[in-house]
Amino acid sequence: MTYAHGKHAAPTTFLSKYVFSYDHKVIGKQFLWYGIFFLGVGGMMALLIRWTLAFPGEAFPVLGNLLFPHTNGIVPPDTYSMLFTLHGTIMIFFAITPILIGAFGNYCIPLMIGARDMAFPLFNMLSFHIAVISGALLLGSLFTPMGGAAGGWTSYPTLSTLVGSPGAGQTLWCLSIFVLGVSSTMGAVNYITTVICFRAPGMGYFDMPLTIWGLWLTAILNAIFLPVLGAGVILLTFDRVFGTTFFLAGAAATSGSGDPILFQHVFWIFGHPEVYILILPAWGMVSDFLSFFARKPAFGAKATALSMTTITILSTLVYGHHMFTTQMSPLLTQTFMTLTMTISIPSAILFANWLGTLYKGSIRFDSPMLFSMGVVFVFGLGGLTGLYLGTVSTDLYLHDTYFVVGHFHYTMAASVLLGGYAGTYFWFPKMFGRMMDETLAKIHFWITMIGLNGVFMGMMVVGFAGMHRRLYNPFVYEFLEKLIPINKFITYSALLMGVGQLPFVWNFVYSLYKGKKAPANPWEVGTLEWTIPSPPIHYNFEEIPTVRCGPHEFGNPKLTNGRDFQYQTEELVE
Amino acid sequence: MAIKSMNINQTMKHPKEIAFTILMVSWVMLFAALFLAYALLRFKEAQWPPMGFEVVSLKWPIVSTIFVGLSSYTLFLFSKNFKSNVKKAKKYLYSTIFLGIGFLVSQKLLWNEMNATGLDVGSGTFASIIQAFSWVHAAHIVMGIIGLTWLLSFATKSDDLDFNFRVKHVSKFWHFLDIVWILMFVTMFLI
Repeated sequence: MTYAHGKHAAPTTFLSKYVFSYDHKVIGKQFLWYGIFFLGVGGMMALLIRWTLAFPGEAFPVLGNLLFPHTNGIVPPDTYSMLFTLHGTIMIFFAITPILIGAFGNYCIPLMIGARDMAFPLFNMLSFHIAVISGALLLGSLFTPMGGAAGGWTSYPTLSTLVGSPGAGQTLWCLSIFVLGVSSTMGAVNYITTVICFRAPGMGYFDMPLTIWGLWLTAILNAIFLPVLGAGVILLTFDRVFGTTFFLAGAAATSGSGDPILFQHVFWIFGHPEVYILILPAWGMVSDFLSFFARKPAFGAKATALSMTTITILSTLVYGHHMFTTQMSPLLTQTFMTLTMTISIPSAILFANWLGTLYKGSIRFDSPMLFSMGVVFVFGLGGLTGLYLGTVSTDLYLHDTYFVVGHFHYTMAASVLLGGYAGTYFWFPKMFGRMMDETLAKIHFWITMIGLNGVFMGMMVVGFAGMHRRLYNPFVYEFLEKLIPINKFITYSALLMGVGQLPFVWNFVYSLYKGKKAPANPWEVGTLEWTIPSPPIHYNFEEIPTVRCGPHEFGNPKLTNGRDFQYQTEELVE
Repeated sequence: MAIKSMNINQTMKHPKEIAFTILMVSWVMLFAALFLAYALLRFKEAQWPPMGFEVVSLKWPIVSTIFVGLSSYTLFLFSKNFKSNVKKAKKYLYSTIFLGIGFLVSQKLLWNEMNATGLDVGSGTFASIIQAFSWVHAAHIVMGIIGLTWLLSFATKSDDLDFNFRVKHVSKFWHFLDIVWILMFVTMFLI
């Protein structure tokens, strides 16, 4: 059965090539630029937050007087709330999602499964343009009279209702998230269909690179759970705009009171899968890179794929562990705790497989490998600290402290950021046909690694000492005054990490134009995208390849062609 | 470079069918979340409707149910006939669209009546959930009607594979909305 697919011809004008492109490679790059832009915005917000926590009541250097003229450069309290709200929102929905899922998903899925494009190119293009509208709504909310949303990235009522945050900012936040949900759902439908229908002949599900496994499972979770968040923000918007009373309780609701906790249920039914939506692509990429650069077959690749699938399924059943402190019945908290703990089993299998892949490998410490090993380290820390939060008895103490902030930054920020950088360094030659500078990449890695560990380890320490998250000035409480020095340390680490991104920006822009020309296969890897020139031609493959072996065939002693790896198009040497 | 048609392997389903199935899952989840919200709000109350509220009159909900049920039936007849009998099919499609619009009108009258009897959205969760839920549903009915008008060119295209998928998918969407309304009708107005 053949299907006339992707009938669009090669584009000729600037607009059709770079703006309204149907080409999955261009759309992937558009998402990459979009994500990197918002990564910068979110990062600047993080620095402002850190400054306020380390130097309460002091003016923000250099930019302070420009940004906050009314307070002589000091970040005002309401702005502080807005900053941590939008920092979270931007990083999760507008930086990680576009880079990991939008950019690598779009760029890699067709190339790595041997397809000419996504299943629905028009849908794909619209997905990006809708994401742009969403980003515009969010940035626009900053310029409304009362500023942007300030109810935390979770937007819990009553903080997010008209009682807690009047003004248009929170409403625009809801609309922006809804629109982004539409965009991501469209992308997810496309990814799932493409993987199911357009794998090259001979490629079974377990012959797919693990990157594709990660992106595919992410897309499935997105398609199922984004609509739940959509329903939540619709109801919140109705509360704010039309005066419904879903989330209003007590005196705020005139009669027949609503339930603020209802929003938490809806939010976390989506929110816990979202955690895995963000991390699964990074896991997939790391599972591949560890094998590629250890020059060894991925240890237990099938078990890794199945573990990721198990985690995907379990992730839908554990959302209640975010709500232990909402007076949930002990029967429920214990159920959710037990289900949460079962996730450790597939996670441990996955982790052991990573270590098994590294064991006795002839490791090449190229930049993608350094970043991948960074992910293994920080994800290990993030995962282990999660156990304390999944356990009811410890969570009651640690809930809403900086320990939580440190934990989720280790899993979501550090792991995903390092994973995203690994992917960027790895596929940059394929995307742009030029190599990035390895020395700068390694400098970038080490500064980032030291900086982020300083930040997030520090956060866990102050959290354990009792520092609450989201406080404008925690040091008004006497018992927290002693934490000012360590908060300063965290802020210096954050500054270091911020400065550490400059080599990356320079490297990225410089290599784009002046980098060394990339060969077709600079990393000596056998997956399908490396069988074609860098950058790939329009429509990727002149002939649709036939897949004859798995993606991780390295170091086979029977290989006689002078290489230590096999392309997926080659018959397995036995 | 010659653009060759793409090979579909390992599956007999057309990509459009798979994609639409996934989209339907998304919509099911959207409405499931709304039903969950409704269930949580309802079970929180000691009685339903809460103290001091009257049940909503069944007049307009029953009219809506008849409209949407009939429209599903005429759409079914359309999809049976659009290849063989253009005249009949045209009648059925127009009937479906008019019944759809009739559904929207009856919904508007329902909201008006609720507002007039003190069950405006601000009066509490009882009115909020009925009104907001039916707004979301009605917004999808509007999408459905747009989808139905997209089928009007059927006379010339009935042999086109893409068009056949369009008929199939718009019908599935419309029947889905019909089922959602019937669930809403039973859970919100009857019991």
